[in-house]
Amino acid sequence: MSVDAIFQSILERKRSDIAPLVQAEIDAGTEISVILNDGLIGAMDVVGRQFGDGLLFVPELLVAAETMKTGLEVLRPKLVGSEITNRGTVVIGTVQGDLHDIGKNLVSMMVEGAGFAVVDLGVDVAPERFLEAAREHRPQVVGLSALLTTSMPAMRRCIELFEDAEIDVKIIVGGAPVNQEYADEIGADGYGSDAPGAVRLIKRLVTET
Amino acid sequence: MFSETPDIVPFGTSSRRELLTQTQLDTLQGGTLRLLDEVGVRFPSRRALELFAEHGARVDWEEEIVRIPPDLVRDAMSTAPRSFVLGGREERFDLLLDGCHSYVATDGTGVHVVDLETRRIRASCKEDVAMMARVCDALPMVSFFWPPVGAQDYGATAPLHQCHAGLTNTLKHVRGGMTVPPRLAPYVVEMATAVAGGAGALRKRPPVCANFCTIAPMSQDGDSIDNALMYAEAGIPMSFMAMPTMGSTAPATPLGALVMGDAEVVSGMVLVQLAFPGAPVIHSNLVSLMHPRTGGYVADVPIPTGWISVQMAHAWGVPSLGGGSLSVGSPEVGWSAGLDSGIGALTIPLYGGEICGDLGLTGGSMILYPELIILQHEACCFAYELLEGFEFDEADMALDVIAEVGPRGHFLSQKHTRKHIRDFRLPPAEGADGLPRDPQEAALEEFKRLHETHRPRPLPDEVLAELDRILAAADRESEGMG
Ligand code: B12
Repeated sequence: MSVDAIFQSILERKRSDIAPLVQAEIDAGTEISVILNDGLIGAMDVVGRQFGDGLLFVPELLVAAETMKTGLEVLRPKLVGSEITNRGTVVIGTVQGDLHDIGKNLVSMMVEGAGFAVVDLGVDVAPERFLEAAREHRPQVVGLSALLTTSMPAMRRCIELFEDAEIDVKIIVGGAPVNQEYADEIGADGYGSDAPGAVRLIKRLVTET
Repeated sequence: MFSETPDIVPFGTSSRRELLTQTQLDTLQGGTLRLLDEVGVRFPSRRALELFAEHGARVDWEEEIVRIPPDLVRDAMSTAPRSFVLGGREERFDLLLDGCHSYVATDGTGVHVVDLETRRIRASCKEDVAMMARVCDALPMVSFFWPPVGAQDYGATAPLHQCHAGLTNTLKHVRGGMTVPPRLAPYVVEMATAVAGGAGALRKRPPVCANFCTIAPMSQDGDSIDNALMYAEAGIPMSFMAMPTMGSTAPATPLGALVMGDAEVVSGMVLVQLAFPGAPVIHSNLVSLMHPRTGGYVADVPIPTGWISVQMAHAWGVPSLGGGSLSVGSPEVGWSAGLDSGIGALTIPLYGGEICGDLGLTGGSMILYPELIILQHEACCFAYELLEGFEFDEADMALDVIAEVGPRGHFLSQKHTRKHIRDFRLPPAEGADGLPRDPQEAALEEFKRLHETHRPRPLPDEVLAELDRILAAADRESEGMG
C-alpha cells in the first residue's frame, strides 16, 4: 500500500500523471480514505505550506490544485454513498454590484486545493442567488467577496436574507476594504484577509460544526 | 476672507523622450486591431450592441461580444479630438490636453484614512474629500482633483457627494460621478451644468470629467458604458481605463497586457465616437502585476508600461491619463514611499502623459495619509525645478566675479553672492535652525497649517443652493431604489 506516487505527482504538479496513479491504487485495493487523506489532501497540505512559505508562486499552486482535482475526479465515484467525504463544501461569490474577482478566484483556488468542494457563483451575485445555491449545495460555509465600499452593503443584505431563511451555514467575508470590525458589525461568522487566511478560517469553522 | 488659489503649474515637454520606435508602435497597434477584429470585446449593454451593429461591427447578441473591423476602428478614432480643455473654476485653472503639458493629479478612490488627529486608520468620509480638496487647492503643482477617498457616509450617491465635496472646496478641475448606477448619472450632468453655468459652457470648459474602468480580459461594464454614452452626449469628457494585471487578468508579459488593455480602451472610445463623433475621450491603460506569491496587486514594477501607454494613446491621437506615477505600493509612508514618489515624479516629464502623478494614497490606492500629498508635491516641485526650471543665461557664468576674487579668495562678501543666494530652494524638511527634521512630521505640520488657513473662494450662493437641491434629489431617488 503506497500512495507516495500520488503524493509526489501533486508536489511535482504532474497533471497528466495522476489519474492512472489513483486508478492503480483503487485497483490495488488501497482504502479510499487513505488515497484521499494521505495522498491527495495530504499532498495539498504540503503544497499549501510551501505556498505560505513563499516557495511556490500562485500559478504553480493553481496547477497543483488542478492535479489534485484530477485525482479526485477518479476517486469521486467511490466516494458517492460512502461515509468518506471531502473536507466540506464552500459556496463563494463576489456580491451584487461588484465585478472584482481576482481575489475571490484566488480564495476559491486555495480552498479547493485544501480539499474542499467549491461552488463558485462568479461576480455580481444577488443575495437570492447565494441563498438558492446554499439550498442546492448544502455547504458548510458561504464566502462573500466585496472590493467596493458601495457593494459592501450587499454583504449585510445577504446575511440578513440567510438569517430570515434560517439556513444553518457559516457566512464569511473578505475583500480589500472589508475588515474584522465590519464583519462583526454585519454579523458575519468570520473574516479572512487573504487566501491562506480564508483556508484557515474555513477549516476552523468546519471543525466547529 | 478667502485665500488666493495659486496658478496651476504643469510640466512642459522639454524632457520628454519616446521609448518605442514608430515601427514598434505600429506593431502594437496592429495587435490591438487584430484583437478587436478577431477576439472582440464584451459589451453587456443593449444600446452599445445596437450602435455597433448599426455601424457594421459584427455583434454576437447571445454572448454580447462585438468584433470591430480595423477600418471601423480607424474611422471612429479619427473623429476623437487630439486636444481639448478640462475646465477649472477660472480659466487659469483650465487644463489644456494637447500633448505639450503634463498635469499632476491626485489618486483615487481609496477607502481608508489615517486620521489627522488620532492617527488611527478609519473608514473615509465626505469631509475627508473636502479636506483634501482645500489643501490641494493651495498646492500649485496639483492641477486635477480626483477625490482621493470615498464618501462612505453616503450610500449609492457617494460618488456624487465626492464630486460635490471637490467642486465646493477647490477651484481646480474635479473628477467625479463615474460609479453611480445609470439612474443617478443625470445628476452628475446637472451638477456639472450648474457649476459651469449652463449646457453650452459645460461643453466648452467642462468642470468635471469621468473615468470608466474596462474589465480585463476584453470586457466592458454595462452600467459604465451606459453612463459613458450619457456623459458624452452632455459633453462631459471621460477616460476609459484598463487595469490589466499581468498573470491573472492579463498575459504575464508587459506587451501582452499593454496590447490587451489598449484594445479594451479603444473599444470604449470607438463606441463613444460612433454615438457622438468628436466627443472628448482620454486613453488610460494601467498595467500591474499579480504578486506571484500572494496574488496581490503590484502597481509599482520597474517596467516602462506607463511610458509605452502614453505613446500608444498618442499614436491613436488622443490624450493620455497615466504616465509617470507617484503611487505608493507599501501601506506606510516610509523608505519605499519615498522611492516611489521620487522616481515617479521624475518620470512625469520624461513620459509626457497629459494627466498623471496619482498623488496621495498608499497601499495600492487604498489608504490616504493626508501628509503624503505634501511630501509628494515636494517631489514634483523638485522634479520640475530639475527638469523645467533651469534657464541658461550666459551672464550667470559670472566670469567677472571670479576674476575679481581670483585665486585663493572667497565669494562670501561679493554683491553677486548676496544677489543670488536666495535663488535656491532649501530642503523643506528642515527647521529654522537648519537642522534636518523628520520629513513626515514636517509634512503633517504643513498639512495642518494649510488645512486650517487655506479657504478657497466658494461658488456663488445660488450655485451652492442648486447643488444642494440636486444632491437632495439624488439622495431621495437612491433611497427609492434601495
Ligand atoms: C484590479 C482592480 C480592478 C479591476 C478588477 C479586475 C478583476 N477581474 O477583478 C477592474 C479594472 C475591472 C476594476 C474595476 C473597478 N474598480 Co477596481 N480595483 C482593482 C484593484 C487595483 C486591485 C484589486 C485586486 O485584484 N487585488 C488583488 C487581490 C488578490 O486582492 P483582493 O481582491 O483584496 O483579495 C484578497 C483578500 O481581500 C481576500 N479576499 C478577497 N475576497 C475574499 C472573500 C472571502 C470570503 C475571504 C475570506 C477573503 C477574501 O483574499 C484575497 C487574496 O489574498 C483595487 C485596489 C486594491 N489595491 O485593492 C481597485 C479598487 C477595489 N477598485 C475601485 C474602483 C472604484 C473600481 C471601479 C468602480 C472603477 C470605475 N470607475 O469603473 C470599477 C468597478 C467595477 C465594478 N462594478 O465592480 C476602488 C474601490 C474604491 C471604493 N470606494 O470602494 C479600488 C479600491 C481602487 C481605488 N482606490 O480606486 N478594478
